[in-house]
Amino acid sequence: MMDQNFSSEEFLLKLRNRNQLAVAELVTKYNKQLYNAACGRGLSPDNAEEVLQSTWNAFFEGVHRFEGKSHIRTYLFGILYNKIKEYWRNNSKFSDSEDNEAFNHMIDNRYDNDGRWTNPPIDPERFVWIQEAKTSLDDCINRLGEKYRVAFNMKEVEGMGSEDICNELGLSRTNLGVLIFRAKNLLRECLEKKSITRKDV
Amino acid sequence: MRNFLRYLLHEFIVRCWPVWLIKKITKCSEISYRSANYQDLTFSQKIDYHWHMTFCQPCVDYKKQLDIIDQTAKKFLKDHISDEQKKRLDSLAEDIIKNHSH
Repeated sequence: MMDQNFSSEEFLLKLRNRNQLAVAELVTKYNKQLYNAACGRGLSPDNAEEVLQSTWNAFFEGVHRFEGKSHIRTYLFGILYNKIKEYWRNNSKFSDSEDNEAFNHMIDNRYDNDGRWTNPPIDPERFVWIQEAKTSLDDCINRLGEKYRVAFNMKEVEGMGSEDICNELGLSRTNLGVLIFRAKNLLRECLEKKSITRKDV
Repeated sequence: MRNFLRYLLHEFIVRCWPVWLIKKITKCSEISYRSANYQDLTFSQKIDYHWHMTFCQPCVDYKKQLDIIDQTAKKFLKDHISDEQKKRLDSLAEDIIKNHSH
């Protein structure tokens, strides 16, 4: 079925009547895209599935209200993003400072009192191997706290603008800047350690 | 060659500039923060940032490392689904179809 037919009156009627073929076509077409979008917002696979399920439930509960004025994809993704916002509101604390001390300690070891490097980064040439080592990067990203992983994913993997991320997560620009800085530093430290280990082996 | 010029400029600043002027230079710790948030810098912050990069090798190395991480994350993580996740997603789709169709 062509993409534009999903918003046709005929197809919507089938959906409202819960026609199995129509439901199957729609779910097959958008399930993976919605899942990717949820993961792109930094949700873990389990949480992404949970949000995906509630998105489809909300969609089918409200499909009789959808008049086809926008593309069905827009409508579906709108529901998904609202569900993700809801999830963050209920489950995440983006502004807590529980790990400030550990991070400050890490930073203190890198710079002197005048803010100059005391323990400079290793040569990037030794760092390049991570481009071929997906598992190392995966491992380091999974070690990040949720708030850092989400901020990093949205900013660097999904390429979202800072304003959009702040709106979605309810953060100030300064908070987001700090989250991104910490996420990148933690990733860098983690990969640097792996890089040194690898060189020594 | 670039690294050598950077080194020469650094040495020149350290040896020839007066201390009060050296103290005006933005700290490496602040430049690291700006490296991580480059897109959100103002024009004057960007100029200051690039000036710092002309003589500070560790900050350049730091920036290169961040670039490698960003590029690698984009390459590997964007829309990546493992085989196991694909299976779980397929079974989730089946459940949704069953639950929402007659």
